[in-house]
Amino acid sequence: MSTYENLHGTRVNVVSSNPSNPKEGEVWYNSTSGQLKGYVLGLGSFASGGTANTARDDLMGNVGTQTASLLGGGGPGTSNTEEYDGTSWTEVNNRSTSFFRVTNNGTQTAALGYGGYSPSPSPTAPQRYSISTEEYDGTNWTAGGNFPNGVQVAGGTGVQTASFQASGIFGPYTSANWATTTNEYDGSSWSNGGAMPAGRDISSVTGIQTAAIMVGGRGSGGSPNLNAVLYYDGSSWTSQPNYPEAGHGIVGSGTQTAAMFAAGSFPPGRSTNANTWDGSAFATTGSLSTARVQGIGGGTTTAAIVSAGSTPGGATGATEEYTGGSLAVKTLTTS
Amino acid sequence: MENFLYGVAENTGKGFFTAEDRRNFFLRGYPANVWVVGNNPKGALWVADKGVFKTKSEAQALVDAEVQAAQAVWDAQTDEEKADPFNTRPSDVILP
Repeated sequence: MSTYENLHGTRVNVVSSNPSNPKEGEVWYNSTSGQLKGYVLGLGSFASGGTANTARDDLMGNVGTQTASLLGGGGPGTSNTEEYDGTSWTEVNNRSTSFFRVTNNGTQTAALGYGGYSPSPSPTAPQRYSISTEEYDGTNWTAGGNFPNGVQVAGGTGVQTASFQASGIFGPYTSANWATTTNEYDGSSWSNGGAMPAGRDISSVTGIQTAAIMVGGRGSGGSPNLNAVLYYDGSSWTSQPNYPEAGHGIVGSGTQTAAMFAAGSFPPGRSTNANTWDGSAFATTGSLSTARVQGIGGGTTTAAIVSAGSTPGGATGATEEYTGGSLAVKTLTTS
Repeated sequence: MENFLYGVAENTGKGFFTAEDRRNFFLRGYPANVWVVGNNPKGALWVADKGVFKTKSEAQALVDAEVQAAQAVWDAQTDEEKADPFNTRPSDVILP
């Protein structure tokens, strides 16, 4: 069995009071309290945010920050759009389309909404899979360049003028396929990005067009659930350590090397679990209060937002705000 | 002592539960505004402040009613709607 001395080259200091300026990871024994203490990073935690006026689910992507996010459409087939200011949601101008399983990304004042599923054919979803792209400028949604092929449950991230789509189910409805194709939006049109190693859907994608991370999803054909994690550098993909669980519809926020992933469907049920990613490993953090799948993320690994999604009782407008853990003196126990 | 308390409380949004609450006690939301809360003094205060206490069986009955209503809506859909692989029938929820 290894000891602290073997691992760190020094014994645990015995002190009568906690050090005034400890270093991260420092451990000591407080002889006054009779407790082993350490200066360690605590778990992050979620607090309730304002509840969206329109409950919705079937959303993919991440928008803005914890204090400036957006919900643009979503299931069950709503065009309703709401802005979040860090306290409450306010209804603003609707999208022109109302599909299920849409993707949102960008910022509150420059967002993108695309893809989705229509229960019946429409001009922007001729084969039930939407080709529509809409741009939001903080006031109105306007038509952007059409998506190359109808797509639903697409993973998406980036800003409005440099968006990245990876994963999803592509039309037509009669012969849906899980293509490895990815697409990049430049503010006016879509073009192909680097192909994924294998097709998947309902994956969480966060980061930017040239540095994104993809987590989970379902394999081609809709199964199995995946825990595989991939990096995208703007042209090619590389594998990373697996996510702790295999699931889909996880909500991601942050960058390629500093992200927070929460919720998701991990059969047999939806999850409240959340994990942070530091560029090399996942770590469990505080959990959501409401289990959900396919909501919208946003923000950073220290201040993120998870809004809307599908709960066991149906679509929700509930929002939870994540605050990352901070360094603090903790009593170290074996439990 | 039981591990959990049960209550009904409407999520009023910002401030309904705080990060400190989450550190102080277990908290999990379920259909029908049912909340399962860690059984400690701070958890009990939260339920008392935000809503009303329920027994576990009362809380389970509320959850069952809401889930069964959602299942009935799903059952009334057309066969084509039910065939959509994303449109799964709401499953039963068992409180811990």
